Amino acid sequence: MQFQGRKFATSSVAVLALILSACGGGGAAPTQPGAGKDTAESVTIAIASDEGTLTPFTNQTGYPGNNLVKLIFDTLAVVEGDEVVGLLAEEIETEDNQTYSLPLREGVTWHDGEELTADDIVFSVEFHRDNAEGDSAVDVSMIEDVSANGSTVTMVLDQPDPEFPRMVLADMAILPEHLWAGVKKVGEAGTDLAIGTGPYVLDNYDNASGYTLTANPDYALGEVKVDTIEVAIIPEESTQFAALRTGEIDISTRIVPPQQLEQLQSESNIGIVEGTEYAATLLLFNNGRPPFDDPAVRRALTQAIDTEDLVDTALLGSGTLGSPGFIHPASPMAAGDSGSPYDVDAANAALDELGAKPGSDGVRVLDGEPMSYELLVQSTSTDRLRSAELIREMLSEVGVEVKISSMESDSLDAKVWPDYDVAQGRNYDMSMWGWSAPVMLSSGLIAQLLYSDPVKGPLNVVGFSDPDTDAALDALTSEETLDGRIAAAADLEGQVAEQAPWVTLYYRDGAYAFRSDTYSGWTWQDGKSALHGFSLVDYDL
Amino acid sequence: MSAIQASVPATPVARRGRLTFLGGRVLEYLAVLIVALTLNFLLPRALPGGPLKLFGSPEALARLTAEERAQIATEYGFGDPIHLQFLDYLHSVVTLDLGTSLSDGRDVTAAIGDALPWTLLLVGTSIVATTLIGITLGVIGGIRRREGKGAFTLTGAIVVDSIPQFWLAMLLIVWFGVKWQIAPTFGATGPDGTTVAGLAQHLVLPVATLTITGIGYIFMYTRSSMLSVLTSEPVQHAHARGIPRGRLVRRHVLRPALLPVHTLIMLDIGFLAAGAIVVETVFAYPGLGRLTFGAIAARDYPLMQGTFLVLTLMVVLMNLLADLTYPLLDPRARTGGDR
Amino acid sequence: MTLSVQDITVKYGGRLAVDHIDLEVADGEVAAIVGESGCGKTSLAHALVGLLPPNAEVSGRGVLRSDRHPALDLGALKDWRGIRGRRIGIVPQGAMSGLSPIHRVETQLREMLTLHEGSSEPTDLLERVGLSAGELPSYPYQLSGGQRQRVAIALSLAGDPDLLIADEPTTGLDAVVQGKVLKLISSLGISTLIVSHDMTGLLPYADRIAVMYAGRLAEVVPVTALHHGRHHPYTAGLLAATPSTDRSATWASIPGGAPAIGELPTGCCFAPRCPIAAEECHTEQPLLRVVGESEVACHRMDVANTATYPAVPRATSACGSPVLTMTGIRHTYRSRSRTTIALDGVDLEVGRGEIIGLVGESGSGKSTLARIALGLIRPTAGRVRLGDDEVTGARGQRLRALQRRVGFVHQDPYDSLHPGMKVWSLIAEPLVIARVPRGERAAKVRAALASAGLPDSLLDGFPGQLSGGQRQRVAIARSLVNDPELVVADEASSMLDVSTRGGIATTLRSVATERGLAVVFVTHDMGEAIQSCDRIVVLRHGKVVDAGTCSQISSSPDHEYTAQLLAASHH
Repeated sequence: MQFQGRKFATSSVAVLALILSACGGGGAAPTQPGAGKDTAESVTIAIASDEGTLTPFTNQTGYPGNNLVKLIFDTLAVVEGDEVVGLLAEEIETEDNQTYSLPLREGVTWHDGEELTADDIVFSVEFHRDNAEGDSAVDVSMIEDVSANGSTVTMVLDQPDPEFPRMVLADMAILPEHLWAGVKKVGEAGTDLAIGTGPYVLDNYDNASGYTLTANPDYALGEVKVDTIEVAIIPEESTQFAALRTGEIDISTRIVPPQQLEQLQSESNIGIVEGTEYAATLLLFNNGRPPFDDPAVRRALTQAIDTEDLVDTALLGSGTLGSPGFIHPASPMAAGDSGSPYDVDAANAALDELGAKPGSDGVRVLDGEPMSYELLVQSTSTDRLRSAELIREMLSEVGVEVKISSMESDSLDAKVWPDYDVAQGRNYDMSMWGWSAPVMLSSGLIAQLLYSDPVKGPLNVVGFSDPDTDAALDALTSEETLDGRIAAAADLEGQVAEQAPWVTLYYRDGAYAFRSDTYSGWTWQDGKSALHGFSLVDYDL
Repeated sequence: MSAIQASVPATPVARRGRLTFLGGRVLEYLAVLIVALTLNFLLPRALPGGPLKLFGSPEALARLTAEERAQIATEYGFGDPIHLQFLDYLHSVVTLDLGTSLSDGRDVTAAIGDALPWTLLLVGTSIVATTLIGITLGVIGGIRRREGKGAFTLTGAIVVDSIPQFWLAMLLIVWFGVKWQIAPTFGATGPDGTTVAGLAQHLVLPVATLTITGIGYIFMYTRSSMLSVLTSEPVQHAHARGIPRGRLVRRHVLRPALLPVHTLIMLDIGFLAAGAIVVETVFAYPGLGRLTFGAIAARDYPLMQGTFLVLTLMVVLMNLLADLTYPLLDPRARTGGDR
Repeated sequence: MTLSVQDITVKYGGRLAVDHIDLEVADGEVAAIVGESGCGKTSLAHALVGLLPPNAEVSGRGVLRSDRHPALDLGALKDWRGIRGRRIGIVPQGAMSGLSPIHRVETQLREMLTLHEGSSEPTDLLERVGLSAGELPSYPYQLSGGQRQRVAIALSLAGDPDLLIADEPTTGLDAVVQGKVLKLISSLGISTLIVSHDMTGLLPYADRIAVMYAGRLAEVVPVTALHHGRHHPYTAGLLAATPSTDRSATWASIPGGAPAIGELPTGCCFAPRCPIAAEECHTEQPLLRVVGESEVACHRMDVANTATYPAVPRATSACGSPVLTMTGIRHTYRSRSRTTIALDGVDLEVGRGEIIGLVGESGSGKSTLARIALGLIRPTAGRVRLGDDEVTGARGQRLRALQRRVGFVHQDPYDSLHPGMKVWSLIAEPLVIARVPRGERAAKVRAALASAGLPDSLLDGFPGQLSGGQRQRVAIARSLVNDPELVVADEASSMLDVSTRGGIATTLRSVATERGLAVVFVTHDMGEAIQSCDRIVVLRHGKVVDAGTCSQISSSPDHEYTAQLLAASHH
């Protein structure tokens, strides 16, 4: 019997279409319109891969792994809409964005019945500092001092940071000291350590049936609306959507592919929860390799790319146009929509001005070299493959030839970001790329994308280097207030648009399908999609 | 086809005993095993994207200093020179202490122990179904072909044999799962835990996929083996000696015709465990295949090595078993049985 | 009268294979149908037991009589249940591989006894065929060829049949064993019809012989009358074409080949090959007439005794300098479970113009020795020299250059010639491999073809259009085309009809003489070796047991084994 690992990804798209079209009339009896179900006894969530023991250090993915962990482990604060509000902390008090005082709520207990104390918070900070490991590790290095005084915790930072509540307080899982104090290898933490203060208790984890989470009966911070959450591991996207149609699962954590969205929306017992994803899709230039070391060339190529066409064609409209300054227009840091730089005539003119004359085959020749470049693209990503094809056509309009190399994402990473260490250099001309949502939400991480110094810019995979931009980044990160940072970010955006270290193509919109006849309480939270506390708990904050 | 033809032994002057024969066989298999183990060790390390990824997200990794990176490598056992890692690996294989999974810290042996029964259930059921149906059709097809009738045609078998597992699996999900809702689309157990009915229901589609995609092969092999045995001298002679047709097929055709099929099926059992990767992934079946798939995706070397080891052992073991059971079915293969 | 065959005719899709045959087998008589391949003997036998393929049409009667059962017309029979195995015992062709390989002897015997309601015990059956009860638990692969054939005979006796039909019962057996098996069959006391291509081998054991040619009976003759009186020219030819172990007897061959089914000439079918054919033979079909003790179908019985056939020539000159010298050759085969010594210290020398007969039974090592001479196998020990050049240590280019100086004729002319290549290409292929310039090829191919005794007109044909003898000549031409110094012919005539074997020997002799070739002629047939070679080397179990000139070997063999071979070979 041969090993049959045939063309997984591409054929799954075709099959998905088949599933959706073949089953128009299938499914359970339709529910009454408007009769949303606010509570449910049991809801089954499909995830794509195993997430380990669901402790803050053993989840395998940020989404949906970290989201599940946060149903078990509460944080001090939580993002609600655009606001950061206290969760375990009753309030977030600060005068200077450097010293934060956090009075804890009363009556919060751990799943094992022990009471939550301020010492647990101090322990958690120190524990996270010592164990920056795992997919969703939280960087707490900026906390210089943490102390407990009665039921109030005080944290002092090394410098003022207005984003601290969002970046750390709303992300750092609080650990029970009485269970975690002796843990040495966090990577091997078992389910016996998955004890938090969160709305859900990890009841069962087994290889065959996945996870069972049950509502925490003593949850003090609100009313838990779903009694039991079953988490089923279904690697194949098509299978997830098939199971959703049969009602075997109640929500899929996979984004509904744009081409299927309309079809699913028309189903009476399937609901869609939509919102903005902060993940950005980029076209990287290797800034260290001629001619991409010349900002004028990068700018010209950027002008040649019609991002609107990409969103319409590759995403079927389910996306937001990339901002030339990178930051998502809906992000709290955004300076506002600056419009697309797309202008083919300007691009041609700019290239002409650079002295790049078209050769006999129509490909421009710049400094004696034909403008013909390789574009790397992840073979598993349908929208990026399509975009790459469109980009090739668009660049050929301006006399630039693109050869597409589609490869497995780890192989691509090894070329673009060897060992995930930008100091090791890079080996590509152009590449499709993506940054996950957290990068978009923190000025610190945005700065890491652009700093020329590899130590300060560990995410600078394009090898971008510009003293003016470095200065703009210094200005951004040293701002002590949120308003100051937003203003500085606007300057930075201008700088980025000007330098064009990459092309920000688009941000995919999120759309998740769920069974409205089982439970319809799913809500959207930017950066978390639908799987978060507000979808499952009526908080009393 | 030489299924029937005995090779006439030339003047044997030295003949070793059965024990030495077995010893030789076991030694051969050990050699195969060592080669396979070396590959199991090397292949994961040849995959792009190193074990550093296990530490966390790329964004988190990027923040690490060179010292921290080296420390992580040491911690996960990848700091040593490759030959020392290999010795460690061999030691872990010999002691059957396969270490802990790098991704979630589970004991690899335990993880495999959890997954293996599911794969055995799935693959075992499929093999039984494939074998029974494939052989039955093959036998009938062979006899009918010999008599100049059509029925189960080769073309049909080739078509069935070339259906991609993934595609068939999806088709079955669409029709039997979603459209008619006859069988569950994923998983191994129902919501009410491990019941016999639940297990059986969840086996339907994956087993059907493995069986349908496996039948063509067995059918074609059985059919051609039947044809060659039906035209072989012993069968022609038995016919000439007046043995009636039914008895002829039962006693003189089936066993020799199924000899090569037996070997094939034994090897299949070993390979199906690997072949079930696709089916287990599509149907979210919690077996070894899905575990392997996950391990590869996560670059979880100990888990990968562990699952590869099991697959290797299964293939080698089934080979050995085929070798050892063959003489039970074919007296000619009984070395040392000469009187 | 156990069996009366009356006017049996067999056609395959309208083509006549058996043409109105009448034949009788008396109670207790051993009758034999002999003839060369394609003469219809097997079709006739199969027609009598209902084993013909579906496309065959049978007409005529075959009446089986017995004092225990009512008479039965086999020609009209549709339902053969209870007939085969019970009224007619069949010993099918191919005893070496014909027994069920997976059942023990006892099981197979019991199956037949139960099925055909035999009254004996397996032990009795084995005893009747000269095997001990100790063989009961054996599997066929554990038995020798002769033992297997005895078991096959025992199986045919299980149903206590009235008639035994044995189809080529000695095929694949060594000469010594052949006689024993035939003797056993003739001693069973059952009316028996033996089908065989080997007339002389049957003579001591059969009562009556029916000679078939091209679907018709040429002659039916009691064995006792065969060596005197007048006979059909074909019968005489078959006798003359059987090589005698007496070096003073001549060995002849019948020129040409038998006509194919469906292409029978008008008149006497044998006329085209007959040395005494007259005009009427080509126009009028002769009928069987009583001549002395025989029945003969021939118009020319009055001059029958004048029929002579071309004899195989002997060496005319002494042999020249040594071409192939093999000294102390030892070879062992190793397999998983055993080590077999195939050759154990063999010396062999062949000179220019000399034909050496390498004689031995299966397993004697003669084929291994031939392969070593060809440079195909590297001997475990010993030296091989070709002319003045060492073959033993040669590898790569040098070995291939040496191999080009040796020609090879394979045993099987049916499998050894690619059916899709024309004769021209087959013969020219060694030249292409040896990179002989294109312009020189034509002359060499034609010369080789002529040496092999074939007309140029065949060059455009395919092997499928040739007879077995012609094919083997093509193989010889192919071996000669590179002007070799040595030709190794491995059982080159064993698959050919007896009437054409002498022709091949004649051809080999003429090329040896004309081209000064050294020839190693590998054979299991002592008579053929004595008749066609200059010297003979007898191999047994990898050792040379006897060597000498043909006359020496023939008249005064040194070794007892040689004597056995002589006795077993023909008379």
